[in-house]
Amino acid sequence: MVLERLKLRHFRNYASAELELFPGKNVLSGDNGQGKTNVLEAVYLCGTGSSYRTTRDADLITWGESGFYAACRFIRRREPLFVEVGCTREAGKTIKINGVPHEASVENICAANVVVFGPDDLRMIKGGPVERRRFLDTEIGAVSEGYRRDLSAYRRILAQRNAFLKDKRYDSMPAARRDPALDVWDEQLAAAGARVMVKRAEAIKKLSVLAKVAHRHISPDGTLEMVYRPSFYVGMGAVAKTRGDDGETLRKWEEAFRRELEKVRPEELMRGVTLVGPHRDEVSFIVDGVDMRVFGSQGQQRSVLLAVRLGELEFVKSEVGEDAILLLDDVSSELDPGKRARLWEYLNDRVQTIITTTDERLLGDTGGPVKRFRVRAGRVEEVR
Amino acid sequence: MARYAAPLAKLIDQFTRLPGIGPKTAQRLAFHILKTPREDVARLAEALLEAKDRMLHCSVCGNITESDPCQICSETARDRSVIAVVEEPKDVMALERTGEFRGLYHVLGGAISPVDGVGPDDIRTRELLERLKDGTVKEVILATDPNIEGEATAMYIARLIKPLGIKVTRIAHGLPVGGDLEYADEVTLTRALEGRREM
Repeated sequence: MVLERLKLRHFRNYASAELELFPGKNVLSGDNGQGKTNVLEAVYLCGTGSSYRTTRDADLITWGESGFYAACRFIRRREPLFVEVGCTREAGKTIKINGVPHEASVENICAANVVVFGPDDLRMIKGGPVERRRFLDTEIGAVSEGYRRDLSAYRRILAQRNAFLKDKRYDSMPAARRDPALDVWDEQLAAAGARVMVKRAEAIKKLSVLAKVAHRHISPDGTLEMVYRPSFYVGMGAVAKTRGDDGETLRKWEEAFRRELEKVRPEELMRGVTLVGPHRDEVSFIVDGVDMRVFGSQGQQRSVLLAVRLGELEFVKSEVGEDAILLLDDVSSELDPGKRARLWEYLNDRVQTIITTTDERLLGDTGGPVKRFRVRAGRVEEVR
Repeated sequence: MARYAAPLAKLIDQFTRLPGIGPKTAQRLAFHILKTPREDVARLAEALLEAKDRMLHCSVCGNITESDPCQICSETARDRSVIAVVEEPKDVMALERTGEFRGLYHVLGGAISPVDGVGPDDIRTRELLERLKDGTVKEVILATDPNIEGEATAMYIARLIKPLGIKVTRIAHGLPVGGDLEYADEVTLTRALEGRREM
């Protein structure tokens, strides 16, 4: 996908702005706090339907204004795709695609169009497992509607089951009466959970291979591996052997999940919460056998994250059949000069990229033609 | 800022409490009431109270009725060996409209939903077991909603009834009649495949 044109009105610190973008590299330079990242945010918003920096749409409205408007003219599979996102403080968000109103509650309006790498990414490694699960869910959800549906079913069953486990009424009930009522939740939880886990295992396996290739390019001194760590033991090599959601694999995971639920039931009843399942999954980023979350230096962690994002780019391409747009927020402060040079070489102008930096000289030789913009106090100007 | 006068505000507030009605609809309904002739409003108020006062739950099936036992339970032409278990009275009406089902009903008055504090004993499961005791019933059809809570309820009741040696069936989930295969979502299609039958 390629972004041709972006238009903003009352969006963050932009009263109004219009940009014509170049299919290759675009560099936005300017001091901190001038609005560079806001442009990336607007592109992400139009590409996916929501911001990656806030969950409150009203945060995007310029202070003192009643609403914002952001529009992107993309080219997707050689067809024009015109996405308009509007939001007022009273009526909330509305999305139009090629002029036709679109359900704003649908998370991914055109799914998997934009990949972003920036300073916030660090929490994906340093933060808790929730951050890594969120990454997985956005990632897989963007390319698979089935995954989004399985996940939301799983969450609903989980909420029901947890409510059951917390309910004091069942504490004094004899097991013979209580257990059948809990069994019905176990059965549904295992079925939906297995579908989620199989899809995660499969996606991580693909992503790991793609991220490894990118990582080797950017940081030649180590081999990256992404490892799926389900919350319970699935059986010898089950994770490695997971192939698609054929009935056989799915049944194995479901059985393993159910056995585990049986095993932990006494403890779950005592603690009032579901202790195993995809909501407790974890992903590890391993370089040469070392877990980057615990032992990685900040520099190593950044290379890993960049490699994961570049892997994501390839993943999207293999699933959707087209390159996504890459947004690189402040890479000059995120990467050392050697890694930056290898990044430009890796990208090699085949993906449309929008880069922000405080000083263009910090980017080094990006290779190939570049379109330059200067950002100052909520204004963007093309530099000729 | 000007506010609505107390009687109007009170009416809007009452409408807002109804299911599926937000502040805007409540406002529209309230203004509609103000414009309506007094005798029509009186009829509405009367209908509300009359329905509330005169409708009761059938002591056998749990459906709402004016007389106890309800019309369906007292009909002699009905097949007393089959009971369809549903969540709400409106589900009885839905099945009745088909004109195909001639058995009796059992209205649970909801589905198991721990999130809402509804357990198996809060819906009419014990009453159902009671009805099965005398041996007239040969089949129980579980016609709860095809969602997570309805499914849990059906599974639970199936487990209760199975040991009694009574046939338990679940209504089929699948493709809507008159629809196109290509427009069906994955879940529906998967269910439809699972529930396929030999021809």
